[in-house]
Amino acid sequence: MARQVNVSRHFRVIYAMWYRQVKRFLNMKARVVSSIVQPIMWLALFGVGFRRFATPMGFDYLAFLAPGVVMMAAFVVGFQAGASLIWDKEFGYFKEILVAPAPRAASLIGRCLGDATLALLNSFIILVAVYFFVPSINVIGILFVTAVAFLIALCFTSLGTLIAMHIRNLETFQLVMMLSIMPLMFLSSIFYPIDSMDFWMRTAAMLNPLTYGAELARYFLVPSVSSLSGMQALQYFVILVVITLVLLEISIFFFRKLTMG
Amino acid sequence: MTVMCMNEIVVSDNLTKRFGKITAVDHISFEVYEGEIFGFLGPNGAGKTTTINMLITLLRPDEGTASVCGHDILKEPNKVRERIGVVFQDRTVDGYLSGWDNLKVHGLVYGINNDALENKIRELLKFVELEEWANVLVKYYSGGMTRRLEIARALLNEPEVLFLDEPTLGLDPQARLHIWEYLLDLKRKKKMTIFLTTHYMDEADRLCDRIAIIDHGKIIAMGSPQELKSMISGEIIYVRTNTPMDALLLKQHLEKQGYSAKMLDRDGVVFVNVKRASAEMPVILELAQRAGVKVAEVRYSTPTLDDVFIHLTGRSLRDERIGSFERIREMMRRWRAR
Repeated sequence: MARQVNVSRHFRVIYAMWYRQVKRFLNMKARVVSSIVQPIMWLALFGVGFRRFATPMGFDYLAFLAPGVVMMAAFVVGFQAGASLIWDKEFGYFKEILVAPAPRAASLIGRCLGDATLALLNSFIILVAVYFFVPSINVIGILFVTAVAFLIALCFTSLGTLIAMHIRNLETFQLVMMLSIMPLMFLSSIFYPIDSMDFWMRTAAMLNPLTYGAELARYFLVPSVSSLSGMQALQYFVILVVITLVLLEISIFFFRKLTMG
Repeated sequence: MTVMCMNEIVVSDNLTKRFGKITAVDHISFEVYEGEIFGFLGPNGAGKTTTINMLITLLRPDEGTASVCGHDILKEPNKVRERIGVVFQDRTVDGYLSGWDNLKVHGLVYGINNDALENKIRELLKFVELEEWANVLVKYYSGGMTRRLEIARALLNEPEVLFLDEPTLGLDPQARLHIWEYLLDLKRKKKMTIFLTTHYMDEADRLCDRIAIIDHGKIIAMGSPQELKSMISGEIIYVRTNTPMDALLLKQHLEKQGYSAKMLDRDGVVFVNVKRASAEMPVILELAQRAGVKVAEVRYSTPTLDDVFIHLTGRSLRDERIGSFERIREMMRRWRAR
């Protein structure tokens, strides 16, 4: 009985933090707009431009890029969500959460789930946009891609939050983000197939969760440009789940440690 | 004396906190009794916030401990957290949520279930007169409104003790009076125990049943405002001279004549404790003239808590000016918090 009460207590805290993150974001109109516009710009400017160049070589680049951009949207928004933690530390809201008798793990999980939901929402909008650019996508695959996008979002929200815990001001955090978003994006298979990479680059890409996200998205959305077999897809999915859970667990560990949990 | 049930709600036992070489809080011990308003009065940097942060389990003491509502802050921090409400010195609301949502999130985090929560929020918003602002984003609230919302929020979990760190800092006089009324109301109607810190002596005098005067991390006096003020018998005469040099000269002359005189740093004011100010004032002025000291201003009053502080430390609470650096920082914070 006591155990049960405890579980519902955890859920309430998770829900509270989830609600807070989502509601807060939706109240920031400018952020909502910019987070949607950015990936669409990638797709429209970079993708469309590149297509003209790659198509004569027998390669539909836009079809290749589009699933990756869906993941990119989840990744960028999720990763940068750690900024809200720094914001909270700087403006005192963090203390308000710390002085509450809530389990630390639950409040961190709620926060990450909230941010991941926003990132997912973002990539879902891109998914709809993709349909206009690449009408040949596999509509049934959208369901699976949503799941993958959620994993990517949660994975990078956990990582971003973990980084944010150790940083005091927003400027430093933004610098760290700027310096890591680029390499993470280009050392993955979002923009080019793994087979085309050097050995070192391929090694880096295989350590990058984004690669698994992009490969899986391609497998489900545009099977014609995917090199994965069904077995490999399952493998990739499991790997992505494991990486995500490990990162979340590490975040919880440090959060407890840093906040007198 | 009236018979009162003196239950100790907060007991601090040699609380100590060091930051590097500085001892911010130095073996502080005191008790707060059920139903009283207890105040920490002292200048900025005296260790008030550090003490509060230890009591509310945000900061681990280096030495000593404390208990709140019978629970040790080190051994059972979560039990303590369940029983207290906190209003922090700086604003800790989420500007991008409405007033209602700020309270809702807080209530859920404290484990209040949804139906009870809605009623509670409505009741508290009414108490702090913010019902009409419930759905407005908090970034559009004034300083006083934000404070009221924070008080409502701190009351959501029906705490046994309410902690407030400088509750009226930065508020205009009208908003301050408003906050004072709420706090006195809480004490009267809900028998709420309140622990607050302040560097405003009028606030401590007006609100507190008992006050601990704190300076450099130590409690230097404790008692009811009346008890503290009776540490100084008679009245106080303030003589303002034009320069600190004049003040020093006057002080020396006064002491030679057997007066109890103190000089306040920097601003050239001499503070004289006398039996009857109206009779002594002409004598002191004459003395000043003979000493060749030009007097710019004279006034007298019955002792205030500020006089008690001067009596104990030789410095005035009013002396505390916020450095320009801190003021700019504060402005930046406000601007960015929008």
